[in-house]
Amino acid sequence: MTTLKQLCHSWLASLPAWPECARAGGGLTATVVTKRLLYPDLVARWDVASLLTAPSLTAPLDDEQAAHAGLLLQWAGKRVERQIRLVRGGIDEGMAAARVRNVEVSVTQLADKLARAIQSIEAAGEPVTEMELAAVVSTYLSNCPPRGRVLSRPDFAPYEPTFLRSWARVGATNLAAFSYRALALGADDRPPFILRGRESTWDGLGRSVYSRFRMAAGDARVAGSATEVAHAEIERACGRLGLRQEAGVVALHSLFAGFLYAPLDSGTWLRPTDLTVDQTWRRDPRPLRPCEPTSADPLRPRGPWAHGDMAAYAQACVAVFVGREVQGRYLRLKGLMDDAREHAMRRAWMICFEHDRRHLDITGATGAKMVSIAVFKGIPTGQAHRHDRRLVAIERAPLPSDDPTAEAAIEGPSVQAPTGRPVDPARISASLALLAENPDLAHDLVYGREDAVADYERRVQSDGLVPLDDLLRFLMKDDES
Amino acid sequence: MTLSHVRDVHVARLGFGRVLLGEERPLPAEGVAIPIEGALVTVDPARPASIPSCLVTDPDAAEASVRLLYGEDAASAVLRVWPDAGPARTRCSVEPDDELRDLVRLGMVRWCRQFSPLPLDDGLSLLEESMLVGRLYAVLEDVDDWPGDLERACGRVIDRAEGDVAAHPAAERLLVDALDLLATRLPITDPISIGARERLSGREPGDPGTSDGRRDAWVADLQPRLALVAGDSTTAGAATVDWYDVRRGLTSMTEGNARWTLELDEDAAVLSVAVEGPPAVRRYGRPAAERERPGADRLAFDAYVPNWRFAVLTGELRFGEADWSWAGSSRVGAAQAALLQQAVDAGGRPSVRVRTLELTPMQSPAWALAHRWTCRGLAAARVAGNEDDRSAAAETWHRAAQLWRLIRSDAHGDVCQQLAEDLLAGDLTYDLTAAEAWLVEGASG
Repeated sequence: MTTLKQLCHSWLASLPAWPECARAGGGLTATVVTKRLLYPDLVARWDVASLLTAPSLTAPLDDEQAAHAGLLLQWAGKRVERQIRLVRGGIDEGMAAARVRNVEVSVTQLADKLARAIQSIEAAGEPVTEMELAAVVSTYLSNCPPRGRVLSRPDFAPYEPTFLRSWARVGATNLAAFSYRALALGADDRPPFILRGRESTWDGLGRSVYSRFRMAAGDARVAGSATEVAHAEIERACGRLGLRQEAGVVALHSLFAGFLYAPLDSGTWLRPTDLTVDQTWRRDPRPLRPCEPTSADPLRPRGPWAHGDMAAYAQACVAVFVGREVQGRYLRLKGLMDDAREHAMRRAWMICFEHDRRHLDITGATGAKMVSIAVFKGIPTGQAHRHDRRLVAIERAPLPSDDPTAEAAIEGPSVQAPTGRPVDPARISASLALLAENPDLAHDLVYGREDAVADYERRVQSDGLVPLDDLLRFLMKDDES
Repeated sequence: MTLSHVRDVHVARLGFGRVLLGEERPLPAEGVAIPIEGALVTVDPARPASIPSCLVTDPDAAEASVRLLYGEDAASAVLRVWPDAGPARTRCSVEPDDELRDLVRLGMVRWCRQFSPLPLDDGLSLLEESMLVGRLYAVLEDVDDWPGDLERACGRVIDRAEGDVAAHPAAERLLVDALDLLATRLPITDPISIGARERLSGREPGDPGTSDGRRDAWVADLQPRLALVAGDSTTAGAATVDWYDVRRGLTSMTEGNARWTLELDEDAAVLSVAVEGPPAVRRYGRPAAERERPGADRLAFDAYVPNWRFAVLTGELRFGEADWSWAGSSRVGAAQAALLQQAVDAGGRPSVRVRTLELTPMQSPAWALAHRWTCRGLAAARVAGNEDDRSAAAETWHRAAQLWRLIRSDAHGDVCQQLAEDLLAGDLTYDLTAAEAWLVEGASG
């Protein structure tokens, strides 16, 4: 069935003036004209003609509605042709003026502004004139920001000495005191100033300073000139965990503590129904501060810089993720919770970073939301980013928690190694030959006997064998079958 | 088939600030997860006409994106259900519009890039993906530099074209859409925008026509090939390179694409492995299919036997242009030869895993097989142009259904079965991506 939108688009395509006015790259599209000019007009006339409400643009039309819409469009024919010619002319003149003024405006924005102006003026009953439109364009361009806040890489490069000085002064000290690696936020290295290649959310604190600047400069909620934003981002990059707000540091430590204390392997899980933690912390409008958990339960997470109640919330959230979500259960069964934690932490850092650059306080409410996003969204998208979409398949059909076979029934493969790191086949060969020659050693390694593990680890050093972790994770079948 | 009708969907609060919009179903061909502001959308590649599910993790941040993609009713339903004091479930109507259709198409293109066994022109696929990312920039998360990506993707396709190759309508339309996006969405004075306007002059969008051109040949290529595996002996056989172990473009994606032979002596054994190289791909703008040397020099293989917990041996594969395949062998001593001999004596045979030099966890071969057959079925169904094509694709899905049930994944099996039935009944059709259209229609385009 046709929708009103489709009807409008095909009607526009049939107008003689359309191909010329709506040429590719010209900014005037059927979507803009339909949304700004045709639909408001149809809505206004529909009621008068039929005493019924006009359908939405995307709702399918019945035959009667389609015929009625067709009739209204025919009546509007000449007027709409004049309007689209006016928009076309206005865009062309506006583009020329924008080039002269060097302002930050796109053709699409210009087209939308002109179409809205025409609709607004003509709704009052008077046809708009070219002079009126020229005035609209002129005013609009005057209010557009000048181009240039988002500096290119070469234009940003001169700030590097400032960054290096700032890093030497405070950045290195902050990194030594607040390790990135310890919170699964990346390597303990000074962030690169400019990266030539692509960057992504998942680089965590390995994200370049330029990338941080680019995000801030492109963020309408961040005030300041290019220079001011650049200096602010340099200072932030040198801050504790790449942030200026202490509350961000607290939030990240709290989430991490939640992961550390989430009982991932066995034991009693802190289920949401057990979540009897005092929830008032979430309503506290002040920035997060480190504190002990309200409950004295020793299983509640705690730690330096952690907000005890937020950490307990994170602990419960992680427990739910690995206990009830297929993906979480799978990651846990495969011993891949380190990866999951890394994804969650990096997502959480991005949230802190966004708040920090916008000068928004990181409060209890922010922290609770951050935990949920980091766990339930950060982990799946992190896996997808690592090209392992298998784990993103979400099936939340509840498995009976008391069914001991439920976990075994989860189907699915293992995941790609988090970081592709080539391993010399010769090292692997040496390891496999050693095990074949010493079946007892192989058996003991499988069952984790300490002396066998120590013996093997010694040979890793002396004979260049493949590390035991690699051997057990990547070169061993799941079971005898 | 694309999203076109108003749908009534569920909205449910899941706890911990999460709200689920739509339905989460078993996805044997794998869902494509697309992060949007404040939420995660999962597109079902097998059923592009279904409303993709949306897991909202931050209702405030997601409100604008959900409104744009799913409509006003859905956005208010999410906000209604989210607070603990509100109802735990409700329903809302979704009127799919261009943005949601673009998002689903983005999912389809990404699925094809990762899982379609067809030799698609990745340049066109990348261009389509970048174009859709650009269109959806306002709602997508984690988009870094879409104009740069899109400009490079356009440049690659345009620069590759040779004068005497007829333009294909779907590919031309894609190029025009991509350049239009760069020309109109970026600041007027941006050099990329100026360049796009220059490239657009004289280029007309193609008329999306269709042709049955080369469909039959490609679909035949996807039909079941179990005979290759059934003919194994204990000292020679075939394996299939897992699509997760080796990224596409390095080897072929057919079943049984790795052949091995085992020579056993008393005090030594040699396992030789050969793997088919990547297929020739017909690039848009080029007159004939071309082979492209894989972007890696070495692969590795491991062999496992039933009676031994670890890999019994490992070896390296090197690419040879002469026979366009990867080959290598591993010679091992008495202890490993004895393990292999024991396995052969017991009627077992080695299973060979081909991988890149990176060590990655080994996945269940049975799962991988079922998944591959599901993907083959979907890839075949997408390009099916007549009754025979559809039967072949449905047959592939039937096979996938059996494989899923063998590993106790009945839900996936049921989905495959239903997909096969819907396809045969004519209830399941797909819009081709530009790369697919070029592949199956390019000869007559």
